[in-house]
Amino acid sequence: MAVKVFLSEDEIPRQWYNLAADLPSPMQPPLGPDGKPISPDMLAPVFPMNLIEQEVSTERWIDIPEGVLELLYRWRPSPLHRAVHLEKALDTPARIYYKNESVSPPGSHKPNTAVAQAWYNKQFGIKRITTETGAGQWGSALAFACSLLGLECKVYMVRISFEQKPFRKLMMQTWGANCVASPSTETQAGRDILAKFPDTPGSLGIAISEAVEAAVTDQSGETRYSLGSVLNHVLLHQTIIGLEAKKQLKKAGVKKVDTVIGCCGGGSNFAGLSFPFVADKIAGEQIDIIPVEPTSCPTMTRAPFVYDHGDTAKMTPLLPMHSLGHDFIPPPIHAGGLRYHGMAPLISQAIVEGLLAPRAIHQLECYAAAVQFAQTEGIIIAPETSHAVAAVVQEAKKAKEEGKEKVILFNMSGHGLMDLTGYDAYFQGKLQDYSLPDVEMEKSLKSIDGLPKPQLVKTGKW
Amino acid sequence: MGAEVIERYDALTRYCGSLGHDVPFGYCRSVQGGLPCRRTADCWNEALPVRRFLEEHYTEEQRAAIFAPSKPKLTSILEIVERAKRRSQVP
Repeated sequence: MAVKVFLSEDEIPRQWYNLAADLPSPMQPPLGPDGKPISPDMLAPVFPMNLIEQEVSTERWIDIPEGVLELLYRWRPSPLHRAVHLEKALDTPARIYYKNESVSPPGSHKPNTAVAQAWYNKQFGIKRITTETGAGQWGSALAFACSLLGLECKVYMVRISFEQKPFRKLMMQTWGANCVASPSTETQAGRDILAKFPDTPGSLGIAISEAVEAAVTDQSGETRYSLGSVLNHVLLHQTIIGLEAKKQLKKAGVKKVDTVIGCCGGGSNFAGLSFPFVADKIAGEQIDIIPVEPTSCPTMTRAPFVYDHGDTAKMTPLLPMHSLGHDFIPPPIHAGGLRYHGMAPLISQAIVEGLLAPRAIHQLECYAAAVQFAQTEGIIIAPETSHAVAAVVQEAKKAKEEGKEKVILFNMSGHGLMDLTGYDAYFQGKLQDYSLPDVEMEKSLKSIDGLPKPQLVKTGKW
Repeated sequence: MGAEVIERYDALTRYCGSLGHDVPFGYCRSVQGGLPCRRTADCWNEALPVRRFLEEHYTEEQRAAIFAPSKPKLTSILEIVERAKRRSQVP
């Protein structure tokens, strides 16, 4: 039995899939404080216009330029694995497949959009890209992408991370990026903070401010900022994962996928695998599509669909999304990518339509699944990926109980070799499960009582 | 809650989900321009009497500022752009 299914380079998908074209109900636009939608021109100082066009596009298929494909060939098409050893350990009749995104040079799915963004920036005449990073997963992906294209890459790495996490910093430097500790003396935002707090260890908020300022104040106009999650064009670039998976499943003789699973924080790896299958579901196929989140931060599974302000002062734009209210304080969870206050709008709308069936899982169950995966399939997965694996284990056990030979597909979004402290905490018994009590949820949602409710547009088909 | 207690707390470390590595409590309680991270209460509630700490050391107004959640990405980026433009216009 083949445990890996490959595609040759000439079989790689040549278009990205844009779910915005097929959502049965239209996306509701992000609104400014004046109630008017944010326009593309407002974003022009930050992103190149070719990416802004993708951000607002409703075209179903968007061609992947040959230049981007040549970059992706470095590690794509990524293999589709059959998890036969996990299946055996679970004694399940289910067939479990996963896309292995850890094979990219930086070790995660993030380069799928990093190389595309770098290429579009270069086409637009941009010479230099800025970004921010914490421990460095996104920063290293963008550094890698820029190195392939001969672009300058400036990464503002939070000072405490810069000092405590030398390995991804070294990855960035090895790929030729200029990685500086934030706050730095290179931006006004950084200098202002340093004047007030000379010994500050920095924060992600300061690092983002520095990266954006460096882009928008460059008088040459040759610098732009890059973001690795949440936005529509980021999700679009990731759909190559699911499009490849469909071809590979066909090669493996799979006629129908029953369940598609991905962990879901900002949404890019989940969207990347699942959106092409959401298209099939819209077309009439029966597929369970499950975004998985931590029980302790139930953005998708327990929150209503509302317009929510970004801040307690209620001065920021209103955005339709699944939200726990602007007074919500997320509880602890040991998965870096899974702590967003709001979900990507495309995913929120797909949930409203009933196309997705979100699920929340406790972190102890997630780590137990991650350890089982490592001891069967051999790969030590990223902490956030463990949410997907835990859901796979649940579905495989359910298939056994029901005696069904169903096909389960999930996204193995990255390895965890740079993020082993979470495993250490798990092995030492330091982790605890925590779920948001109903009373806390009700208290949080009171804060959005007076806000306008978006029109819940749904067809009722799912 | 005295200075000795705070000093002892500051030395404790915990995994930060935002940054992706361990950080000491001293970082969490000062990361927002001297104010605590909005996640401090939850990240530390299993290890310290952190809500009591926050109530004793910060005013209601400060706590409101502390617990303001992160904004939608596109929104916060546009706000940063406006701030950067204003800064660059200041002589």
